[in-house]
Amino acid sequence: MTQYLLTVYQPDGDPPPPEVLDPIMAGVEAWGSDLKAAGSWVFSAGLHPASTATVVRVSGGETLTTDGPFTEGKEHVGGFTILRLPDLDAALESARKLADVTHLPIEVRPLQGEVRD
Amino acid sequence: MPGRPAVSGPEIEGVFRREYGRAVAVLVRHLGDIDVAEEAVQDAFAAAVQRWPATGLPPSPAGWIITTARNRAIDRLRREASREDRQAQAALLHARGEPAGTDPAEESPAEESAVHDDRLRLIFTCCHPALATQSQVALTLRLLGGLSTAEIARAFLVPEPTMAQRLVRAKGKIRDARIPTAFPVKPNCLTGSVPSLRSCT
Repeated sequence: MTQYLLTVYQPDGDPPPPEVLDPIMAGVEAWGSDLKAAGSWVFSAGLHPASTATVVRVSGGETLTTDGPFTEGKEHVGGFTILRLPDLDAALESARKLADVTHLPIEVRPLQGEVRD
Repeated sequence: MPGRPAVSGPEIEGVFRREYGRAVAVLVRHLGDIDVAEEAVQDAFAAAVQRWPATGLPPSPAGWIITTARNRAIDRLRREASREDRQAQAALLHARGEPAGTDPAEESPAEESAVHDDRLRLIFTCCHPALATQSQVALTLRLLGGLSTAEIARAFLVPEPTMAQRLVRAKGKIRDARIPTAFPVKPNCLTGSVPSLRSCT
């Protein structure tokens, strides 16, 4: 088994109104429940907006702290899920379902190291 | 083997052109590791170049290459068996392989029947939609066509190091992201693969 990180990229700014957001969140919830029932779910989290991010660097013993996300842009990581699955096709299928529910692009990346079945 | 006619360089080259892809495909199925499979098949052809001019062509050159490559792979995996999963891989290979001492030529009918599926399976892996189209085509030319990195680079009009890097990256993604080496089961994956499958043929 391999663990995959599924990252949701969402546009910055206010979230959609409840009548739009609620069905999406219900869909995400159902998506997660299916994966939990299948034993594939490892961890999920939603993030506060990128404007709440802080980047810390150390250079020559000096600590530099900057306000805002590491990458500037109109879209940022909004949340992520870690799944334990047999291969990339399974991960892409889960990502397809999540993208379909959220109408957002999902990045799939394998985590290093094998996990025992 | 007395009485066998000597084999010329071009004849061995012809065997390479015809059989390289199927040998790699069979070895990938056995090993699940493209790099080890490629290296083992290349080793087997290097051994053939040394041996065949004296012994003549074996009755089934493909069977000889596949068996020799498999034995080389077993040796290599044993040598590198410091890691637990390597050992498991070697054991797996052994379990599927023929007992030692089998005449390579005798097993050729079995290899023959597996060949087409193995090559098609490897084509689907190479042309997985998670790989960029250019990587899909380059990888197929390399693994199934037996073309060198330099030849593929020329075909794509890119410098050889660029192509080498592209091939390494594609093989790394197949290994690390676990792109399956099996037939696609979902129709969307199948149709996703087809455009570059067409451009490969």
